[in-house]
Amino acid sequence: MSKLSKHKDINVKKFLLIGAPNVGKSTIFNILTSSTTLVSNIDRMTTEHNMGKIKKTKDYLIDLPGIYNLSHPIAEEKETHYHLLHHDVNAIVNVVSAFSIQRDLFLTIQCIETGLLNTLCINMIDLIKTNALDWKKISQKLNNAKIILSRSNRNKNTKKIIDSLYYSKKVDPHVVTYSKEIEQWISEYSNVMPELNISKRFASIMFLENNSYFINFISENFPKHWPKIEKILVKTKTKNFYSKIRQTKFKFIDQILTEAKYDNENYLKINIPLQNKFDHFFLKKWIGIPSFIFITILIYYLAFGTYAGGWIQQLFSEALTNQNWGLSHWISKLLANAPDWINSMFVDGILGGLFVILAFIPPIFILHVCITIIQQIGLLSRVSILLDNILSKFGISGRSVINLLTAFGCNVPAIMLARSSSSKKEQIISILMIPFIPCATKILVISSLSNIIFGSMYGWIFVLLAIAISGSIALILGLTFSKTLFRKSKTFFCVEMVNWNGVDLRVIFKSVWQIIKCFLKKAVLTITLANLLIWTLLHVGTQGYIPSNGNLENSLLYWVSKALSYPMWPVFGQLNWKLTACLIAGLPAKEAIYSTLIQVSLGIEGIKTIFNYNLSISFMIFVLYYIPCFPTIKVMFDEIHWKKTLINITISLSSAYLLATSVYWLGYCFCK
Amino acid sequence: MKNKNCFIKLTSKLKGKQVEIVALNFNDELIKHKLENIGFIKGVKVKVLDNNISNKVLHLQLFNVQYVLREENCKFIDVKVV
Repeated sequence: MSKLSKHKDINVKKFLLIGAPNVGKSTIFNILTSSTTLVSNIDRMTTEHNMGKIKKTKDYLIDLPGIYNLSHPIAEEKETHYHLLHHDVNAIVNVVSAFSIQRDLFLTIQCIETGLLNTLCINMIDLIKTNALDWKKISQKLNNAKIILSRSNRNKNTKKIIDSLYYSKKVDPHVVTYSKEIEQWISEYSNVMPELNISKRFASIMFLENNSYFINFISENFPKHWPKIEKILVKTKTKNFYSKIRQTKFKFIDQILTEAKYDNENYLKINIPLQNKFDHFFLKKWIGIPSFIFITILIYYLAFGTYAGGWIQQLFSEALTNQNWGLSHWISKLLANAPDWINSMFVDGILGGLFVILAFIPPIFILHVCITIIQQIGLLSRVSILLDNILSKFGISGRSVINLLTAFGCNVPAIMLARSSSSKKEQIISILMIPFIPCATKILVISSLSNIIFGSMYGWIFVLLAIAISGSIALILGLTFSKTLFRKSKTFFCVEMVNWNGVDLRVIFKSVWQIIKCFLKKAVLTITLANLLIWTLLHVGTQGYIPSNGNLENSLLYWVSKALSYPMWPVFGQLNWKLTACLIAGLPAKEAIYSTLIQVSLGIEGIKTIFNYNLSISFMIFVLYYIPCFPTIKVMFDEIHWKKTLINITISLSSAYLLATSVYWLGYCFCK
Repeated sequence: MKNKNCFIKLTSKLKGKQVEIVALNFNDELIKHKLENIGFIKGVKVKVLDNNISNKVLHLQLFNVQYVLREENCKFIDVKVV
């Protein structure tokens, strides 16, 4: 929440994008700024604010999580209040969907009451008939608010928002007149309210609605004004003004739409009955669930399969790391005259890690394109309905499918997405389950290893099995938590059936490019440093530098890993310092496991000599579950605090240990 | 199930009908808040769609937006047929 505090230059302007979930705020944000944020056709995809510089200016546009009203903020809704109260916001752009204008105008009225709104953007204008509403009338009723009709997914009229931000006047906050009694109380509060960036009228209404965020903010930050305000609050607190104010606003909205000639029967352009017919077909259990399973298998085949992503990854990997003709071979030749330690440090230490990351890009790209397509077309809400009945037995609702599917990309945003869960129980159970869902990085490590050991024909099948087993373990964990920690709580399921959408390749590639950029930013520095550290520990021993063909068992890494390999004996059936070193390297980032394995095995061919089938399966199982990476642990700590995070880490480590040990020794007994 | 004021629980028996919300009887304030946010408040008219897909969920239309809720959760919502 404190990103803006770094930007205290008073000449820099800050504008807020406020609107309900799934109205197109993030799409508008991506068009108007040089930043990119994830866009999805499912509500509540944005869980934190995103800040970007408006193109060709030094001012900031802030994309906030979707909210429906400003009255009683909970969880991600507090972001908006934080920005309204703690920062000198210059203006608000309220984005409303033309499709659900009846619902969204409530927030519009509240934005006007803040005194900061100067632009009302009616988005998704293509979904309604031309001249369906008298927009001039609506603007008149809303104190002549500037209305821009846009279609952000086709970049229609979106840039007019910038002109409006800078040149349109702010709307008079007195847009709705409440009952005499309420107006009197508003007046009393306004007389004692301190000067805020928002209008005193809005602050007064928030007090009448008993908005605890506002009350706490004023009491903590304005001690001189607080005693007078508190005297009034004591009188108004017990009167239920919240529902009266709300009803007045809804009546006003009805009035606006009547005068603007709103006709529900002739409003929408999209063929809702046709969509309903398709949903009627797709939402049958025996069609929808197998279709979804088929789509999931297809996605993983495209990303990791023999004649698809896996093949492309192998090509990349060979082109970069092949010891006879790959790029590393040619770089090594170039440095042939340099001392051996420089050659080895540069090629194995620095480039080794970098090449592993670059080889991971094709499957990550394919995986995220597929996941983004699913999100964009509107399949996710249907899947959550299909799976709700099954998931409810495991303590979560169908909505958690969205969090769990996101976790297959990366656990960090999936944990943050859990904030929008319908109940605290579901949020916590989802967060505890997510580290058991293998993220793209773990899948890539497993996929690379299984291709080497089982061959590319069967490697991706092992990956699919690992994902299926991980999903089952996560569900069993959910069931356990539900029956133990949350016995008395029930889950709640409510999902918006978004419209089926076409695929917008421009938006998809922009979103995926953002994901790849984040992956590269994080991975390049972390993996390169981790790899360099491993190289140093591997090639420095008690007697100085150890060449690549030297005895690595004199190295510092050997001594550190050897000490830790004793507790790992049951898992590997042997004291294996190399595999232990890989597990240690994987703590900050799982990509380092594979790059370390290449280093300690002296190349991909060397990996085959370390593993037999038994050992490879138990190692991969251990990698899948042992400890979440540091960024995941940090986000978990922020969301569910240290006790539950520690429980999760303990369960992860114990599960990994027990499962891997069982698999190893069962395999050993069968193969004997 | 009727109460003494002739309000009924929101169930699948009301498929195809338009109802007006009378009360939300959830003990969990978070659930109540999330429903009120999307417009499920007293006095609002909701159409119970007859999508006839599953008996365990209800498709409700409110302000042109379609929501899907579990029927067991809807039993905490009192309505009257319009």
